[in-house]
Amino acid sequence: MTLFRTLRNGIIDENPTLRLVLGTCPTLAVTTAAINGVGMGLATTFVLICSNVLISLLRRIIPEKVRIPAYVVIIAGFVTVVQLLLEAYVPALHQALGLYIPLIVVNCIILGRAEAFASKNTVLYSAVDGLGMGLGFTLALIAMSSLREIVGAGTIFGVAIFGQNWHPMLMAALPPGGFLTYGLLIGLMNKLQLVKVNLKTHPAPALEEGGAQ
Amino acid sequence: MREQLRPTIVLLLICLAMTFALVLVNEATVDVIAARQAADASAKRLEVMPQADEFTELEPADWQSLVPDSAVTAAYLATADGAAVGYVYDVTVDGYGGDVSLIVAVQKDDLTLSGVRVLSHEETAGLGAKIVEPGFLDRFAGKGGPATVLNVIRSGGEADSDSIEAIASATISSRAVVNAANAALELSEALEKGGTTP
Repeated sequence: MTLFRTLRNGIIDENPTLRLVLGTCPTLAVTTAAINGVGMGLATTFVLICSNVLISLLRRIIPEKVRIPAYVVIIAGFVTVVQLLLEAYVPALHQALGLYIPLIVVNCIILGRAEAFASKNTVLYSAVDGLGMGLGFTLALIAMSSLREIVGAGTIFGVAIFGQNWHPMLMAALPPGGFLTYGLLIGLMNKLQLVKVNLKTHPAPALEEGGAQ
Repeated sequence: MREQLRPTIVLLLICLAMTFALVLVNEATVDVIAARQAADASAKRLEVMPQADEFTELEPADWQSLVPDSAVTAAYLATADGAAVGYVYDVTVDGYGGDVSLIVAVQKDDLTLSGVRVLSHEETAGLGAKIVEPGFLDRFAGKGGPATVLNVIRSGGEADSDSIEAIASATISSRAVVNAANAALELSEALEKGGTTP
């Protein structure tokens, strides 16, 4: 697999949110406003790249039996580092994201990539996998939170886009709206992927099989 | 034996290394964070009581007996050119997701609220977290007065002089802020009556 394929894999083919359905808890919880999606996605991407690199470096040293506790210690450590650095040097971002940063520890995308990828691949590929998965997560969160913010509040990144007479459908910003939006996006992604698979496995069936489908 | 020792030692070493890294990062950031929080709190105090030029912390023993079990955690006397103009309080109340810490300022002359700011909270993002927004906090300015207990009315209602319109779908979070304001009003009135002002 090339580096580019690894990157693309995380963003599209194995998008952690929409294809692997990992990390659903933060996905549903933070996607009430677009800015939250961006912040949560980027913070997770940072932790994902760092933990993937370190776990890949240590992959021959960490014994099989204690690998999960070792991964959890490393991930939690990086999350705390991110939290302290943000609080000290980027207070504005910390204020907006403070609540979500500890949530990254329990995001199973990170543990999942440590187990499924970083523990078996070289450092460079693990870093690219972290970047791809992180961007895939970020893009999915932005898509979902933008939809929920537009429908639920009539704003995007806090800017009102409809006139005074717009009555937002508040449900979209509430938990039921989260599940509905999530389901619709997964369905859309499945549909797109299905079309792609059909084109690959049955190239131009009309010509090959005389149109019998 | 070797089979059991190796995993134990490796895990121990990883824990030690991560702990050491966290110690270093904490050492590097702890002073910056404390200084920033102190600056943030004093800037917010000035924001809610802009006419004041000095804030003197009142001795807890002097006011804690006036209102037992108050949500107020610290009280400051705001002065301008040496004359007392109001009180500023650090208040901690129960919210929907955990503690909500606020700064509440009360004018000395008519015992109305001068301003409310949220220092930290754990409310639901997108709903209760809206208590930090000026659109909500501005509803408090000028409310209150002697012997007033503010109450919460549902979002969309018409608020009068002693009620606050709640944020839609965040009544519990809104009520937390109103409770903090009431604690500040109650203590201010007690301080004025008690005559403990220096």
